[in-house]
Amino acid sequence: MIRLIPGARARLFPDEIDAMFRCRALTFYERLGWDVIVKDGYERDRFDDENPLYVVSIDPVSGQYWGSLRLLPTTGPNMLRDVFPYLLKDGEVIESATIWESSRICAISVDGQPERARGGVNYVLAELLVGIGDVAILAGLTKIVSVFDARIFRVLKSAGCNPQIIGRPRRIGGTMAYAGLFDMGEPFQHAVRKGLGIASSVLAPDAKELTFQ
Amino acid sequence: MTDVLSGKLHCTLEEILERIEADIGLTHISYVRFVAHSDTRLTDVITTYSNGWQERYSEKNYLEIDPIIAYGSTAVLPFDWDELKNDDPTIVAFFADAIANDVGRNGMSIPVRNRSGSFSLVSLTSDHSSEDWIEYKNRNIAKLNLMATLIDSAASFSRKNPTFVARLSETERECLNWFARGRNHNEIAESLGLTTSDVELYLDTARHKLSCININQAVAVAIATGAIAPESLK
Repeated sequence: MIRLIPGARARLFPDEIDAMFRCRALTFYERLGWDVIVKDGYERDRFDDENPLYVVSIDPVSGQYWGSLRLLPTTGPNMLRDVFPYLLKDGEVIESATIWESSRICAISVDGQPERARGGVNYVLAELLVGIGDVAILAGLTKIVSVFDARIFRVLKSAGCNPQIIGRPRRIGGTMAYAGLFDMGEPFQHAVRKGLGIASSVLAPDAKELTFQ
Repeated sequence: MTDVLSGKLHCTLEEILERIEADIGLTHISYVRFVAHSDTRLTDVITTYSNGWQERYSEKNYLEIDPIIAYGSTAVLPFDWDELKNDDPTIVAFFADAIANDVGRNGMSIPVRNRSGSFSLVSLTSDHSSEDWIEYKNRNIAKLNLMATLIDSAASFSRKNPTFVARLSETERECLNWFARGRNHNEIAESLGLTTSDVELYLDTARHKLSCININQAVAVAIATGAIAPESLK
């Protein structure tokens, strides 16, 4: 089940957010050896201060954290513009009110999670991808842009996503980095849901949390 | 909307918003810029609400309790004002007073982020029936997003924030050039060996970089500011 948490409201979800920053440290620093900074067990960067939208997969019964990704509007600060501009051709910029950027997708493996989704994709990653589609409908997005590595590229292909690779892929550290655009139209929604065998919305009934401080 | 921008460059942003809302079937449009996210202090307000409502809002100190401002300063997703209504008597009274002052029966707000990282909120109200309003939002949400971003750019521009000549990529420049020479998307795609949706994307990013409301205006601004060279149009 997916919960949507704006960074500015993170303190209302201390357990999910704590687990997310730890999962990011384990995934990107320890397991993949990316050049990211880990402090007190958290992988956190300056984009986490820009009020991103976290798409968080949780156990529908216990509420335990399963996985997450981060969305940033491309009209504001984002990774492709500010960290990886060299992946694009000279002067090329992705910046539109209807394109958001996805980054930091990760998941933990715990007992009680459903089996792999159709296509052999890890269930939590599958749910997160479907969650992006649900957010696109809520927010009126036409495309998602993302920088991803060969590992995620394989997951995306298995999930029926067919990103349009933009700019020129580059070797960063030990892996290839790609910048890709995902069309959020009907074909994406259909292909991903069909590819993963998840038919309906994955958003929690109260996915958008609106309580006041 | 083209009409609004075609001639009168001397009208105020409030007047432009009034023309836009009349054109697209909304009751009011208003824009606020926050000091920072999660900080409800405002640095900029542009609105088409009646003077009566603006005075009452300030007299009653509604900024302190306005749930749209409180939630909007932390929001990332667009939200309908209905989502904010609850049993709190202060909130109930606030919305009742707003409706009594012709703010509009329905409302939604779109958070906007810009290049310098600032946080704004564009609010739209309407007097549609509930069903029509839901239909209207679903059909137009992507366009309303684009419009909200343009209003934010216009507000920054009119407040004399630093402006600059947009740096277009080679492909964006080429697409805009062909467009300026009267070619349609398909023809441009063919000439440049791109897909039609690539061409749309390049034109849209060019338009966005130039802070324009449509491609026609983008061509004009690109030529006027030197982002594309007039001689390349021959």
